[in-house]
Amino acid sequence: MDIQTFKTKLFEAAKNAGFSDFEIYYVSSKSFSVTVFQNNVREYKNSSPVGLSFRGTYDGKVGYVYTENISEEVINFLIENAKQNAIIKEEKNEFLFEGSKSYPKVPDKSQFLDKKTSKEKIDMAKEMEKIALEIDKRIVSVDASVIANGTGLILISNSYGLDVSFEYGDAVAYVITRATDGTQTKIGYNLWSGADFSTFDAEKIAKKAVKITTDKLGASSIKSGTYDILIENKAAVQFLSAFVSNFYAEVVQKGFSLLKDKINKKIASSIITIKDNVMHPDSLTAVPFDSEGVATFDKIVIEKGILKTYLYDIKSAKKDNLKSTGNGFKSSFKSAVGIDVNNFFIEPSTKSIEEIKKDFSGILITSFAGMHSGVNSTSGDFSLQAGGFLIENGETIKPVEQIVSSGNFYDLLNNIEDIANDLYFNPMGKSIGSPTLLVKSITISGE
Amino acid sequence: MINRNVAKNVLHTALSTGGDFAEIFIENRKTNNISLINGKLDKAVSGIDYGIGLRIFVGHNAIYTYTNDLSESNLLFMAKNAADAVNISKQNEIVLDFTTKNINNIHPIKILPSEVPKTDIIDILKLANKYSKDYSKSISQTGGYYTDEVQDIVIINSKGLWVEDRRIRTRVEITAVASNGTEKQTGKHAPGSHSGYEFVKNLDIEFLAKDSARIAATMLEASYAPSGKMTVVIDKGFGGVILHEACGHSLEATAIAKGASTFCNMKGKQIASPIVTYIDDGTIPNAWGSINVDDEGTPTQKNILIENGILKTYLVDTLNGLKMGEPSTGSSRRQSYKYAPTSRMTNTYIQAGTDKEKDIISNTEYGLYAAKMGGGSVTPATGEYNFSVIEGYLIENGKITKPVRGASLIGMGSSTLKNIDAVADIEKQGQGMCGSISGSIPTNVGQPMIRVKEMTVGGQN
Repeated sequence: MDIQTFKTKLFEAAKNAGFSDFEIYYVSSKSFSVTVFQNNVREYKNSSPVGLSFRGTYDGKVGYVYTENISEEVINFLIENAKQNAIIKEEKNEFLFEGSKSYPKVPDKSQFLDKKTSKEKIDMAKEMEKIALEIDKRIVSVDASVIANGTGLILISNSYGLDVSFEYGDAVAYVITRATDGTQTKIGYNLWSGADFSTFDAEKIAKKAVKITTDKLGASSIKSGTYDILIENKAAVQFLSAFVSNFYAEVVQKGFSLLKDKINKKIASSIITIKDNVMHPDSLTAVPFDSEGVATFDKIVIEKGILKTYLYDIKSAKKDNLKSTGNGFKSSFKSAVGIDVNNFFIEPSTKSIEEIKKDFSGILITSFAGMHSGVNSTSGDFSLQAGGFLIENGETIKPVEQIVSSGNFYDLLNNIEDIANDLYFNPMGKSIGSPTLLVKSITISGE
Repeated sequence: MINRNVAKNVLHTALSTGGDFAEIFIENRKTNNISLINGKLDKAVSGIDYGIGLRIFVGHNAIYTYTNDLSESNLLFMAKNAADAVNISKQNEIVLDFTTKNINNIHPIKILPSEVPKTDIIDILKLANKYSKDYSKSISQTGGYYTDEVQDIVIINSKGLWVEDRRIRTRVEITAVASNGTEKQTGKHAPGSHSGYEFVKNLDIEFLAKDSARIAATMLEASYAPSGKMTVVIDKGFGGVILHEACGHSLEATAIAKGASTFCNMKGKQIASPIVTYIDDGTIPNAWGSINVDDEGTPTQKNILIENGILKTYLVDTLNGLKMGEPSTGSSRRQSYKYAPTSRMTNTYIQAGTDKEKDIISNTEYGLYAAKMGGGSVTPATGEYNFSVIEGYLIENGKITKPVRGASLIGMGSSTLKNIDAVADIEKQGQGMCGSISGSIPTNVGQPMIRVKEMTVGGQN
């Protein structure tokens, strides 16, 4: 059934069931990916999923349901469950939105995104694998060479007359390489993303993956102790992502964030400024409205170490007598509205990484592992498996493995001593960005 | 969910360009999620996950495609597109005659989640909030979460297989946060089962809530864990996450078939201490990670992975099995129709040994006692793994002394397995969600109390 017909029938049923207002949030996407292994197409995936969520106000309270089956047979189930989910609520604290006066102009989906044929994409993946295997004998396998692209449409429509939609799309390529020096095996990957494939460069992607992997060979642990650390931009993004929810007003209001009552107070080193912007030249993420239909806009979250605002959706903003900051996002169409970032990033400096590294002695951390378990986002405590390089006076001494770095997020924010100019945004998932950070005195467990 | 003739046409179309094997997976899953924060309803969402996945084997490789539109015209269009990707042009003669395989349901269900008033669920979670809050003044926040799902599946393939099954799961999570103004610590329990609502009704909510509060309050008083290499005693139950990461993932055909595991070509060899027997068993009645058939329609079975330290078998799915020349072990799983299935764990545990728990502690001069574990991760190609300790204590002179917090444990699977020097005699399991390339799936991890001679502890002292 087409979405407009479904919407009409669903809204009619909602009205008849006693809902005062109602809304659909609809996602339709297409994705393609091909994985090459040993010059064969190991996996070829094509899909076109859709999903719809409905929310409606019943007796002043909002109930949610979702479906991937867009047909008349599920309408009764949806309306009945939405009603039940509204009735069991105790608070009348969620409101549908009539729409913002205007929305920021964001770049259209690239018209070149769908131009490559499947055959061409398979060849691109094969090329990355071939190059990775050729340039260094220590590469024993390319465990995956992947080309993927996807497009999607998000549409929100409600009984207040809100009717907005936008299309997005991106192209992705990555290689996972495995290297051995006879005694040790190491694995590493490099991921590239773009608005389309026009800037795809197989050689560049493969070469970087090979370097990342072979640089790790010969790694060993180091003596336990306190070290200064340089957290490389990609690792810093992993780290920031694990704690970003502490900036969400909902988390603060429920008492799960230690940033409660910290507005206009110093929570970070004075060299730290964090922004949440609609767009950034280094990020592919750009959405004109959030999942409630509120226009997105640029905001400063931390200014020179001082916390300026939390991130709000409509519900949490009402609670603090403020306006939504355009951060009311669903984590998937299935979820209730929660809070999420637009492009949340630590502002880079003008210093190059070489300049910072010049006099540095300590550990350059290039990756963390176990992010989902080694952090306590509420207390800020972290204890994370890490990998990287031992550096003395700017010279790389050796690769490091089997170490754990431990500390507390809030202490770390205050102990950032320097920032590089190499801002990097996470290309998948939340758009969070960070340059390389220099942090003093972190506990490292090793030998 | 699908008509036999339509299924036949889809499989014929899928194989029309020379594919070797085609498989349909259809899913209709109804779910309910309810969450309470501080005893108040926060979110309630219900829904339907619905779709079809089509997989074609071409040699050792696969084509996968999925959609939510189950109309015949769309399915044939999808099958044609997938077949076009096969890119070889031999004609296969296939005669399709489906034999419906009757499932032997080993997980009896008493109460369907849809028959339960949502207010009953909320009452239980409110009770948990009260027990946690009353436990200690330091408890500042609580969370109560409930989920249920009824997943109806149909698996049909070009070998004539037609299997239908219904999987029902329920789970409750109770969390408590203790706070002293500047610091916060959390404690939680999250039991789940391949059962109906009877599982939730029979839970000891009072214990779960009070114990979550106890963990949070205890950890608030705890100092940071020590740092460096030391002996670690890991308690029974969810402690089994250590072998799940240190060894389980590395025994999956997903890694083995590619040669990307430290345990490749090790069958019949001693890979663990002789006191370790490690089992994956999807047939445990009503266990969280249990199934009747895997997501390719193969009956689940009990697989002895390591027996007395010797590697016996890998966890194998059909496609990787073709490459390895081994039959499926009934281990092919996926989160949903959106994922092609691959070899995964079900309920995986270390079998009970002969040591006594109290002796293990009293024989340890100095070390860390890990009472409650969080999750972890592993890189199978190198064997490097990590997992976190939620509730820890120091062992000094054979006695459990002060509480310590905030530590990840890391190691290399191959050496950790050999460093296990004690396995106690009471085995228990805990529930988790395991993430890998075919998505997030319910699994049990389990073990008796074990001791690892030496591990790296990532504390701060």
